[in-house]
Amino acid sequence: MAKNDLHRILDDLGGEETPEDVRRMAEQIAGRIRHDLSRTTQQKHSIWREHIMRNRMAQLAVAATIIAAVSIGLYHLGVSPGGTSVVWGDVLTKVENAPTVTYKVRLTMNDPQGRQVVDESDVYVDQRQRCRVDSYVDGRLHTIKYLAPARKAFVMVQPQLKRYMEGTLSDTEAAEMLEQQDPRRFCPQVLAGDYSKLGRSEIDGIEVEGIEAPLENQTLHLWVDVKTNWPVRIEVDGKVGQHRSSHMVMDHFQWDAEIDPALFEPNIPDDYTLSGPR
Amino acid sequence: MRHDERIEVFDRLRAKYLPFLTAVLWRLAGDREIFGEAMQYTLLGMWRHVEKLEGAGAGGYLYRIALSANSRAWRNRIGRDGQMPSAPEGFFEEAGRESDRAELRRAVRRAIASLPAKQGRAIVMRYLEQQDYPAIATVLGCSEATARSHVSKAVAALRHRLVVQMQMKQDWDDGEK
Repeated sequence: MAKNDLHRILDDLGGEETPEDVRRMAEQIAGRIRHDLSRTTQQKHSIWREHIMRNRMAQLAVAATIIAAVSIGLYHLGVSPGGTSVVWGDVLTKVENAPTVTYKVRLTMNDPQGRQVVDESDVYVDQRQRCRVDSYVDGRLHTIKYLAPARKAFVMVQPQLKRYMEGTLSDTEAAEMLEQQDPRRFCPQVLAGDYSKLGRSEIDGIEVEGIEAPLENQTLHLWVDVKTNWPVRIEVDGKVGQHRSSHMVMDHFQWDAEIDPALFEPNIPDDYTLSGPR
Repeated sequence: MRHDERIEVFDRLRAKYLPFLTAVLWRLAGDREIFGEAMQYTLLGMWRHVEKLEGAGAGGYLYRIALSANSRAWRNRIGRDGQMPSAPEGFFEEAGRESDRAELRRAVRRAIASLPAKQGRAIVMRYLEQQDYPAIATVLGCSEATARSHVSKAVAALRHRLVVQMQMKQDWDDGEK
């Protein structure tokens, strides 16, 4: 390419007028984002996240929360003028209006001795942002975690050991925990990150469209049903801790599930002992 | 900064810069889908860094956000590594139907999106916005001579990328014969 050609093309680009429909598109996008921002609250660095990252099982809950946030933060991740792809705006609208969500998480990783460990958890989050995570190892219930941001409290129960741990949260921690538990509040933070489109695939007979996004030392794949715009599966590959590789799958989402409120009450048996946090 | 204060700042920035962002991103994209994605990324980046956009250096920072957003939008279209999409024949067939000039403009836009941040800003300011060197120097935070150097290096880098792109296309065409 001759030097003059390049300069001429660049000058041509500089002289291009913006079509009217493009101006309108810009206004619409800005208006939509502004509308969403008015319904979110401020992002803060999470002391709570640091707190609960102290144990391995809690890491799962944190990762799950972050991933749920990503699934809800898809509103702005694509423009589909042809209407042939996932309508990402619908993803946010539907998920945002779902009063509750339940899902399953399966985490496979190597422990410090190099043995493979598989954690499977059922996660429940209600409209009051209470959260319960039932974790299983080898099919046996290992830990139940209750997070109650409104009461500024968390409880962790280990049925096999007949013991439990509980803690209170400061106002700041409680507020930040609330933010952690309400994934809609992650939108700006998550969307400011990087991602790439994965195109279409099929999961359990469902046609899905996916994205790939980096999360610190991890890579996230999120798949959304192209017909319903509901998230179907989220996969995360990467490292937990320093050098332990991990693979996590979240699926069986029910975004409007009926959850018995009693599920969020610890109701600890009398013969369980209270132990201090690690 | 409180959430409502951030919203206020965002509103001011949006009112002030949206026409500018629209013009720049359209010139960089030349495609409605890429433009839409780039605009979304830009506005979200503006929200994320709203505190940094209040001061005198807002313009320069906004350039960085907008050009980064444009690069991401292009990357989503053409692949993270800057290579062709999985079906390159589709791309070239499409390009082949367009006039040579339109194809070249598209290639230039794609190449701009792959430039390093400072070079990208230099090209956009000098050619797409047709600003003079003192203005470029102010935004880049350097001397006028350095601004000229950035533009010169950016043009050279752009030319190199275009030559590589054309060579790839030529190789592809040769392979088809």
